[in-house]
Amino acid sequence: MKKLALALTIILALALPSVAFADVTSYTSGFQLQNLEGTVANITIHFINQADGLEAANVTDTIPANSSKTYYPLSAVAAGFNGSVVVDSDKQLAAITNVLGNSGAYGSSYVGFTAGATTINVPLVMKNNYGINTWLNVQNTGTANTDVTIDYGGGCTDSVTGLKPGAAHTFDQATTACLTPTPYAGAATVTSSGSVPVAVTVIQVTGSSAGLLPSLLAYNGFTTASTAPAMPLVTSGYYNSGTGIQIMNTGGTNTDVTLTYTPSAGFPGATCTETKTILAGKSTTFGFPSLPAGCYTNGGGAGSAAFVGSAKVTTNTASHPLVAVVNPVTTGASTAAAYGAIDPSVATANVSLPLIMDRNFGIFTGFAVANVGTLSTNIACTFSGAGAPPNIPSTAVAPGAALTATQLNQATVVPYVGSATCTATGGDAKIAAVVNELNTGSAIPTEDGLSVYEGLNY
Amino acid sequence: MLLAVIVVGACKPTFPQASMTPYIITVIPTPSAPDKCTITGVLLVSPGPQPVKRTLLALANVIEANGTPIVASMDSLNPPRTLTDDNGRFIFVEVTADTYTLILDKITESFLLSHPTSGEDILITCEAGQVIDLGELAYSELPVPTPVK
Repeated sequence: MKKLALALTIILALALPSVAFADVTSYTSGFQLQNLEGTVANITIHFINQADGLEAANVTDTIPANSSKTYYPLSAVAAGFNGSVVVDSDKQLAAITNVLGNSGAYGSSYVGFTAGATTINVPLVMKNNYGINTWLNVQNTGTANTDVTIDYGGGCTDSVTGLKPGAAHTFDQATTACLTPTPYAGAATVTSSGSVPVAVTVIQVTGSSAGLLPSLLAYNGFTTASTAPAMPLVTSGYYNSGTGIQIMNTGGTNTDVTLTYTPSAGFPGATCTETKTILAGKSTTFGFPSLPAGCYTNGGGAGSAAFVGSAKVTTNTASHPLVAVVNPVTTGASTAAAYGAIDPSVATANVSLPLIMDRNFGIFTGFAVANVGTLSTNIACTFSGAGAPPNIPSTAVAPGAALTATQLNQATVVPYVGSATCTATGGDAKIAAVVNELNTGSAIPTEDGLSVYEGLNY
Repeated sequence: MLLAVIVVGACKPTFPQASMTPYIITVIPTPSAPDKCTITGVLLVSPGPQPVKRTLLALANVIEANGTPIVASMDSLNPPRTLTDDNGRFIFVEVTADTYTLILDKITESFLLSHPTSGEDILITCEAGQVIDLGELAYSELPVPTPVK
């Protein structure tokens, strides 16, 4: 039997009084497991308590072929539980964990891990950064105990010893005394001893103390880095959208990084660049609060200047490995999300988008498929499900550019819930995708109407 | 505690096609098949409490280990699902006999509802032919937009 361990980090009903500047004070979690194969998956879910690193409970279940289920721990394991989950399966699975704050008033999501690494790069951690704090969970995805150290740079470190297999530990930046002065924003590196792999998820909590609207974001630490990461979807000024791109230099010397923004066909924007120096081991924000002036053309909401497209690092003077997290936001609303920039070396010719919607209780999707290769390629997308939107015919996309499409009012039968696959042919055929899920509020009122997930390359 | 209610007819609830169309559930149908049940209740939230309108609810199956409910499992795309009406009333029809719990479904994310006063799991034992009324579920806070005060 093929055995696959799939590790998730979850926090259930955990109050974090140390997050003094945030309005999000309690958390719950659920997680969605998708069976990626054509036969039934037999799974076992293990709940691991952070306090003692031991299994609190386990259950078995099945997931039909090519289907998904969402799991919610009940009070037998959930009451006050702060820990992690490991899923064993005889089929290939994908996982998404929802972290919900204040009884679900705020939400974010991150994908589960099928593997870890002994060094994880975290591009953005914050302590009272104008009302924003982060905390992160490190989970042991190996089979032996390990000692974990987090290095914030400047001599500021924190650690935990003897982290058991499957167990997780929380590092809360809001209570890390050596992160000074505040407001603090920077990068961090997590290392694990003894060749034991770990995985990292970062939760970013925005409070209202600085006049911001509360929100919750999540992103995973990076196990790989690239000298030229790509961001498939960047928007700014388009119906009040904005994007912040936090790039971390994992090298030992400074490097000058140029980000090239390329508009998508049919959307506003102009090709432009933004160059900044990123100090060794540090992070710098690109694209926010606005892109360089030359990026915009008219076409946003109410005739404003706007940009919709993609971005890619095109110059990296020291050729150091970089990692980046991308934060799409909506100006003036409590909507925000996060996704990790793409390492082009792991991109493939095929990407799966498992959840595509049109007018599904007021929710629709839009996606961007970026050509992260070095040659022009042709990208085509096929939708599945009853009443699916028309397939997108093969379209030539230049390197660094993206094919962008929205599914709103495209399906012939609504509500439409289906999936899509996109394929590249010609050139070096390397693509990556990001999907936005937007709630118009027409059927289900919402305060946080934006979610995002990364396409699954295969 | 689960209460039976008077059965006044049998029809499948329909969802409003536009947000301004009044949507009031007037009929609580009996299950038409011998192995099915009907589940209903009213979702409320403070201040007031007042009805939680036009909100999706879903049912998740309860999975036990050694006789103890451990986790709830919901079909992610097409679970038993219904929409609260303008009074907060919800109704699941033709539910297959099993043990369920209640999920507040926002499509892109979802939330397990606990009992609003005890905080305990809401475990719904759906037995054939029953109409199960969960009564008023009045919460101080829910993952829905804050009602207008």
